[in-house]
Amino acid sequence: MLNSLLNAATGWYVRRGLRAYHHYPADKTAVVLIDVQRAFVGSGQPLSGSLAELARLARSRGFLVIHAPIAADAGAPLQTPAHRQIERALSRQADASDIAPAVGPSPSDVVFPARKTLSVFGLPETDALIEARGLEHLILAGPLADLTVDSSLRDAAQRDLHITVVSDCLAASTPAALELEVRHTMPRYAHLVTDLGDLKRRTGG
Amino acid sequence: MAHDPTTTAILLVDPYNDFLARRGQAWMMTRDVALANGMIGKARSILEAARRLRMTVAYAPHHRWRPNGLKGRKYLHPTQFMQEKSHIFAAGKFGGEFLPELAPADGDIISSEHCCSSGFAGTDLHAQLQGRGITHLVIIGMITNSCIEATARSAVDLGYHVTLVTDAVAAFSPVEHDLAIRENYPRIGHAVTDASSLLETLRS
Repeated sequence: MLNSLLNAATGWYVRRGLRAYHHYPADKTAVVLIDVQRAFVGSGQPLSGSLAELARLARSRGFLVIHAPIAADAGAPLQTPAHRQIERALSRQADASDIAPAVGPSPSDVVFPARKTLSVFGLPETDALIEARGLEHLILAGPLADLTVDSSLRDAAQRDLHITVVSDCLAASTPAALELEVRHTMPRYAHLVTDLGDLKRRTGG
Repeated sequence: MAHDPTTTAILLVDPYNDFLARRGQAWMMTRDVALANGMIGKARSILEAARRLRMTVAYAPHHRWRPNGLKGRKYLHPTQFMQEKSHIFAAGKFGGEFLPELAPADGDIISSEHCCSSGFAGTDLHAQLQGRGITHLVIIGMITNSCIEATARSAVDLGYHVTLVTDAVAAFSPVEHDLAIRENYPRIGHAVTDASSLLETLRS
């Protein structure tokens, strides 16, 4: 009981203290769609609709949209269950690794080469793009919240970026894994964990 | 699973008084899990077994609070924000010292401090481990779903084989600890074990 109260009070205090960060200038903001590929986002799923809406929102606000796909690492000597889970999904159909049609990509988007690490920062292009464009605000979303979005979020926080996670644009291996991420772990690293409706309001909708 | 003592290191993350001592600043939040699973005694047993085998023991300490220590950072993340307010792990103070039961011994690696969550991010930990030819890590310490998990995630991306020990770690709340060891550890680690099984393999 005391533990829950302390955690809740700390969370409230932090959220209050970080409010000043939540601004999204168009030239410094990017939405990073992590692993939004056919293998992980079926066209009929609610997640597909949410991610499409997020991509539309980003383009309407002038935010850069970055697609960060993952590749199977079949030859790796030390595969984790996460790697095998990703590899299985990517091998189910010929076009499984393609970017999901719901999110584009559109001509103004940046599409990274497929990486093999859990974190999008395992790819040098990520840091290079952030540096080149002067990005300071990243909005993260993707279907592998417990595997790749989590790793990417932690690495982004390390880089002194302002990080927003869109909770209704996430999915995970299980409902419990999603609960762990959205309710407990991500709020310790992301400056804001919110939903699409709130993000629209905050970005001027 | 056998652990080759020449290529395996025990990696102990953030064993600070502020987390694990009765007078520690965050003890009120960590004690529920730490007392329930006996992580302090188990971590100590693992360190003792490793040192008997002359296995590398490495420490990955969190950033110790210092005046203006995070100056220049524009977007403090929630954990850093709280550290700036609370001065947790203050350098030169009780809270910023390692718990005596889990203190380093001669020959241990002590990496530079990490200021976010992964023991590898912005530190010399990888270089020091590589310098000793370490390829396998057994990661223990604090906190189950933050610095332990972040360090494990980085280690996996860097190509290490990672073993996680479910009762030699603790979290700020039982629900976070239980969910992390049940949901995330079995996916992101190469092996998940408990202290008893690990000690058995280290002794065999």
